[in-house]
Amino acid sequence: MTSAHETENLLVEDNPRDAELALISLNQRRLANKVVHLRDGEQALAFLFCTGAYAGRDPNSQPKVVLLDLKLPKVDGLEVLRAIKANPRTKQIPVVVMTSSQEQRDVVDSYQLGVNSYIVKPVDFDNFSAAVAELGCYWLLLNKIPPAPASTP
Amino acid sequence: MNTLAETHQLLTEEVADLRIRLAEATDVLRGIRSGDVDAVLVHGPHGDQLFTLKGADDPYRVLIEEMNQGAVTLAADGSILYCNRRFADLLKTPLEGIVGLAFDAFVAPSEQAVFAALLAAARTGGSAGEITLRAGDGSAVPLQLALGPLPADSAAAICLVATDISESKRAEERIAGALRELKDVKAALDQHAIVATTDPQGKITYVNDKFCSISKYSRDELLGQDHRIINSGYHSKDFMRNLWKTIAQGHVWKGEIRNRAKDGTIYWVEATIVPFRNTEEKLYQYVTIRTDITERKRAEEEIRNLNLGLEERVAKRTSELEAANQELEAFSYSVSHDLRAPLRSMAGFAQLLAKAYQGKFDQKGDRWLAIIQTETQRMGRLIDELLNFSRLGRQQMKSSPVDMAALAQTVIQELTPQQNGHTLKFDLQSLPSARGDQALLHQVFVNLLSNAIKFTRDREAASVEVGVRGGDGAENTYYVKDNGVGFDPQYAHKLFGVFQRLHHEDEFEGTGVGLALVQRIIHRHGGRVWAESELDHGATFYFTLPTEKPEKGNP
Repeated sequence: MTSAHETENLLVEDNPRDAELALISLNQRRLANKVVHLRDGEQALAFLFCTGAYAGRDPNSQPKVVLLDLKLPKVDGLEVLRAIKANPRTKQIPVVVMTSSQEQRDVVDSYQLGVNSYIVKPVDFDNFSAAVAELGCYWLLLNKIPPAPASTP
Repeated sequence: MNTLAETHQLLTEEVADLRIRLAEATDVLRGIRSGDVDAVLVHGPHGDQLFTLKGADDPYRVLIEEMNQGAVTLAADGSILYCNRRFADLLKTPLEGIVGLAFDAFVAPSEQAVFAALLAAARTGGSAGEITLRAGDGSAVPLQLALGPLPADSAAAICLVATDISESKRAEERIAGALRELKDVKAALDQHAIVATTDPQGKITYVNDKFCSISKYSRDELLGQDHRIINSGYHSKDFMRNLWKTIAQGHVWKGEIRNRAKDGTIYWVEATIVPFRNTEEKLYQYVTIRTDITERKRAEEEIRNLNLGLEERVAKRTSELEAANQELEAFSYSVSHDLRAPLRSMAGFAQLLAKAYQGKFDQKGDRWLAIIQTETQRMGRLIDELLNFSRLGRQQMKSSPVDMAALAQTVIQELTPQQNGHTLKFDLQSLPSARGDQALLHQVFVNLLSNAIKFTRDREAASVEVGVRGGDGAENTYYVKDNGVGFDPQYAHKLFGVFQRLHHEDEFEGTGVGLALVQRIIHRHGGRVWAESELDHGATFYFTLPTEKPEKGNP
């Protein structure tokens, strides 16, 4: 309970190159120091709800922002988003969907599930870097999330 | 001298006798004049003769003159002693032209023998028969004659009464004609239809040959049976009940019936059953006329099966198309995610390389790295446009009135940055509104005007004109005209193909999707798109769109 915001940022991305580029971008803006990188939806859910490999994690220490890819192995991004927004303990966490998809149905589904931002990863690295950094900045530095509700008795 | 006295005596007696007879005659005459005497019997050498007197037969005379039959008396030799006016009328001859002539002078030559026989029979007790006389005007007069002998002591030997039967002859002819006609109709009907009659209980009372040949039963096997003998068991009880109810109520029933012949063959008939009532208004028979429609039924069945097969094929094809569409969608979804990812890595790391190792490559290295970067960008654009293009085919269209002039104006403003300081004269004429999808038509103007800007950038006085040319009330033809480099008209057919380009990449950049997209949008609006150009003399792109007004009939 001593470090409620130990984890600043959760990056859920299965493509290691995209993850590396995102981390480089965040790093360039000095935002990458407390980023946890997970590779699929299952890991993300385990992390957020402190189960499985993350059973020992402090449920009160939640990330300030989740950068979430949609196309993920095992459990896809939309399911992770749905789980986060359906649970009162996690629904306050800002979720930014970062995806290659410009498909309208993905955008619509994401917003219906309560996504906070939706960005299409551009091919151009400068744009990508700028988008990641801006969003990271916005949600990490400017957006203060309400305190997490008290843990269940 | 004795003789003289005797003679005197004789003469005296004779005178006395004459006196008596004179007195008698005077009395008779007085009686006749007064009407007290109506007949006089005269003793003659040939026996007694009775003379009827006018006063006495007056009523008979009137009767005979007024009756509607011809009345004639003939002498023993067949000559006409008397005839009434009616007979003269029948022969269309004056009385004086008849009396005194032989009766057979009026008999048609072919009937002389018949008349002679009638006459002979009349003498011995009476005769009757039909005979045709020839009238004064030559016309034939059919008569029914009745002849009889008169008392031997009368002056006339034969009396004859003639009844005009030309009316009944004509009626007979009419009946015969009607019968003949009926027979002809029946013969024709028998050629065409299967005919049967049944009694009110449904027992077959008549069948024609066609009935026998199609049912393969003999007439004897059918008569007295009811129609269950050819029932195929195909029709429901309700169907049969309805049929019987209809005809029993005196209504005509029409319908198609499936029958079974004696050998089990199935045949279809189209039947009309007509109930008939007798003079007491009681149903006494049903006449059924059927037409063999087996062949038609077979054809109908075939068509039905074909249609069914067609529907199945359409359904199958539709589901195949749906599957293909889903596959395409999955494919484009995958393209949009998976093909872009490696591209992003290539672009990202190339850029990192260029930044982190700036100045460490020689000129050649810098150039090659720049090429990698440019090409990855281009690949990205190609993928994006391809996805746009495929998305357009699946997207729902929202149809509404679109202000084309305002739309073109907006796009021109949006595209100003693309001009890169190059001066361009836009001539936007007044445009009629169209009916279509605002967003898609926006895309049409973007693509056409971008092209116009791109291909006029080398011109000193570049100009682009947007206008409308003619219209037939249902659609308008819009155009975008530029004075740019144009294209070779022999390749015009390639303009609207996906990834088809008529310019080299180092002259004019582009992916070759823009015009394909324009064509797809216009086609989805039910319009046409085409282009005219001459190399180096500008190009004009035309497209048609339905007018703003909804279709006629819908206010």
